Amino acid sequence: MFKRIIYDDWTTIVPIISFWLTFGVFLAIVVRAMLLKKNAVNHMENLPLEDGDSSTTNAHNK
Amino acid sequence: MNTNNTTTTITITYDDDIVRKFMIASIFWALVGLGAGVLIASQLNFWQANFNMEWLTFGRLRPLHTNAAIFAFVGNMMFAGVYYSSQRLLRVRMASDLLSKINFWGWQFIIVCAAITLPLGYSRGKEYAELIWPINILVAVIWLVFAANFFWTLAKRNEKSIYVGIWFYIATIVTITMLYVVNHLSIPTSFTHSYPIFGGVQDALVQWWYGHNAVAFFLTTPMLGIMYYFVPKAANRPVYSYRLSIIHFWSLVFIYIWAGPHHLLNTSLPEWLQTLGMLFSLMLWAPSWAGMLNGLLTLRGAWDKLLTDPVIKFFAAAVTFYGMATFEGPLLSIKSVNALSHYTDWTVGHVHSGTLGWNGFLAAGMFYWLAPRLWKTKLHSVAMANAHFWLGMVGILLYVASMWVSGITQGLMLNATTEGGTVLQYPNFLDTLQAIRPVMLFRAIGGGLYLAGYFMLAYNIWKTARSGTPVNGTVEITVEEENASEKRFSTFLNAPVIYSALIVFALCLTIFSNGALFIFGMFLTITFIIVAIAHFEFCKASWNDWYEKLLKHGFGFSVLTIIAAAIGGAVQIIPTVTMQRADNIEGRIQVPYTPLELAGRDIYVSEGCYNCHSQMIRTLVPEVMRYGDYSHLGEYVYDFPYQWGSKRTGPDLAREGGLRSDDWHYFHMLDPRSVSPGSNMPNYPWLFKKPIKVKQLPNKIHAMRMLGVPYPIDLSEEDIQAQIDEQAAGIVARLAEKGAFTDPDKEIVALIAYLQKLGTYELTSEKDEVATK
Repeated sequence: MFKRIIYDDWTTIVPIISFWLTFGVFLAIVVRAMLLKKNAVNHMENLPLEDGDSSTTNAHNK
Repeated sequence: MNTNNTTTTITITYDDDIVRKFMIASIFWALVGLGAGVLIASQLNFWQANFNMEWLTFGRLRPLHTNAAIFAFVGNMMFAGVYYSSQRLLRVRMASDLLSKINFWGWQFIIVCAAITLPLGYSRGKEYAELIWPINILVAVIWLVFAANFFWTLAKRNEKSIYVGIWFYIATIVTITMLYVVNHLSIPTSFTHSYPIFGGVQDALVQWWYGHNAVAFFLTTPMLGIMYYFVPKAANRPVYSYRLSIIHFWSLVFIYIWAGPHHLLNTSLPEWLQTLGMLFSLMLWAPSWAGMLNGLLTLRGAWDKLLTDPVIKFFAAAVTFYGMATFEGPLLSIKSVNALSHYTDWTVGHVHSGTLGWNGFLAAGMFYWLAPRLWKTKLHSVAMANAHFWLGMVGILLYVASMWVSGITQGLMLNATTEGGTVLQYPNFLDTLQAIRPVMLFRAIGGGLYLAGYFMLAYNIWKTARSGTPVNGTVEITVEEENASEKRFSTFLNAPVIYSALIVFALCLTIFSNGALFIFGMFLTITFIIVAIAHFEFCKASWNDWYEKLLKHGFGFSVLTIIAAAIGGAVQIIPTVTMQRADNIEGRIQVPYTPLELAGRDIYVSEGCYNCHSQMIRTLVPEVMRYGDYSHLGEYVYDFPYQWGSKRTGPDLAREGGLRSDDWHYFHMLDPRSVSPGSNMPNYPWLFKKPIKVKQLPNKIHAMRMLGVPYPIDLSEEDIQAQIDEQAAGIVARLAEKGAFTDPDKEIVALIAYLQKLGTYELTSEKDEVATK
């Protein structure tokens, strides 16, 4: 009674393909991130701190 | 970029007026959305809080609450954060003040339209996608205005590099556009009504592809962009690991889109899709926690501020809630856990730990950080902000804990069996409702405390604004002047951008077409990929160079993001659409609704019954014992929209037809407690007064026919009226025999006709031709 009917057998392979596709993307991004040059990383990570906004204050520490 | 450039110093004045506007709007709508939440939470405990008024029932106000919280509160907060941080990260004022203003006022107009239409019962009947089609178009237009302004600003930027926060904003813009358009494709039948083009399982899949990713790309990715800008600012330290943020971004964008089917586990959704949904939800643990750890570790060295600075407090708690919610989400996506949790308050608790804890606290932290800067003054009261934090924290914990208890209790009771597993231990659904009543009250109290905290925030920000003067941030920067034409062409005319655009075009062709065009699209996709690889190899390019080219150009990067986000949707949706076309109906096919039943179904959708009742018997033994045979795909092929629901405050209705008499439904709708003692359902007295909207039916039936429902082509208005009269007369006569009297043209008659039709199907095998259950 609870047996599910699978009409398209080829679709059962989709999760496996999808997993390996994702794993490949993940691996590529990890390699890419690791190969990023140190000075590029320093520049990027400091962008929010370098906006030099003259209107900013530290006013909330009342 | 050009190396023969001259440098010049320019002063930029940011448009912070638009940030102030969005921030104030967000706070205002937070009070409305949270207030609506507290009211509907109270209605679950005290049915009298529905006030016997049609526009104040739970079914109509719950969509108002969710839409107000998501699109009004968080939406406006997102715009405020994006406008503030983008200008500073890109070192340029927004490209067009006019577009910014259209974005703001257009968005507020949409919210007002939603706040009027939803209580009036104008609904598409799909969660977080309830707004009617004219408002959908308005949303799309205003969203495109925002997108145009954003990408124009991106093109004009004075900072070459694109910070990871901006990546998240780009992902938000392109993905929400795709999701919103696909899930809102409809055929209008009047100015206030339409039917979605997808039905049954297709509609369910597309809806949760959208619904889940509304959480992902409206409530998460823009918030992560905001986190990556504001948390380093508040802590005055760079992000913990920029490398980790790159991995976080790409894996999140790539994986999130696949996880939608976890909202449909154990249903009649094909098994492979359920597996896919579960698998990718589990994989989401990794990128989500990468982001959470990156956010928390950015605060390292600033922990001393945690004692005194409410901004750091809110940010630390928000990121922690992000971690907890994204741990719980995959947990709930495991099929066996989902068998217990789905359709219960556990899911509600999970959603609220995300929205209240992650979104709400991040918003509060951002507002407390922004207000003194936007009005060049000090925060009115740090003590009040701290009090807000603790009040909100207690509120969330009370809310979430009570929902855990409620969900697990009800789930266990509904699944409990006795007599060796052959008999349900609690056959009366209301027994399980009574058991969770006390914890549902705690939920309302928790929500009330959280709302009180936001009132404190509103007062604090208002006093802060009153004590200062609105200022626009200014900055002096040195920029390289480039050859304008060279810059313009280099944006588009480079190999990776061109190939990416061509591949996206071919993928779109594949996704949105069928037959020969579908095959042509597949052919083009494969061809472009092969040519791109050949070009790459031939010119001995490096992956790094191509990737950098895409990253440095907003257009190319956006194309890359679309590819990453579209793959998951394409893999799931294309086979599902194709499969149903191929008679994949599991041996049963739904009997089309008669005109009267169709009118009744539209009333069911309009009243928001799906907010408390499901129409899906899952492939679980206790469900089959309680409600009957499990639901098959073919039983929903004519349901536009599908009504499987996501929460059972009341029992499932998939096989309600014929289960109870017409008069039972009559008295139940008039006063639920007269036939179901202890019920918390509202009374629906207006159904006995309002006439059925018969005049709209010809248009509706015509639309249904366009969608593939086999109504006769020559069905005239007179035929429709005659069918309605005949069926209504039968119902009215049966009601009169039991002392229940009504006119045949009243809505209650149509609704009874619909409820009595639920679960009716025909067997497709030649042996069994007659509709039975």
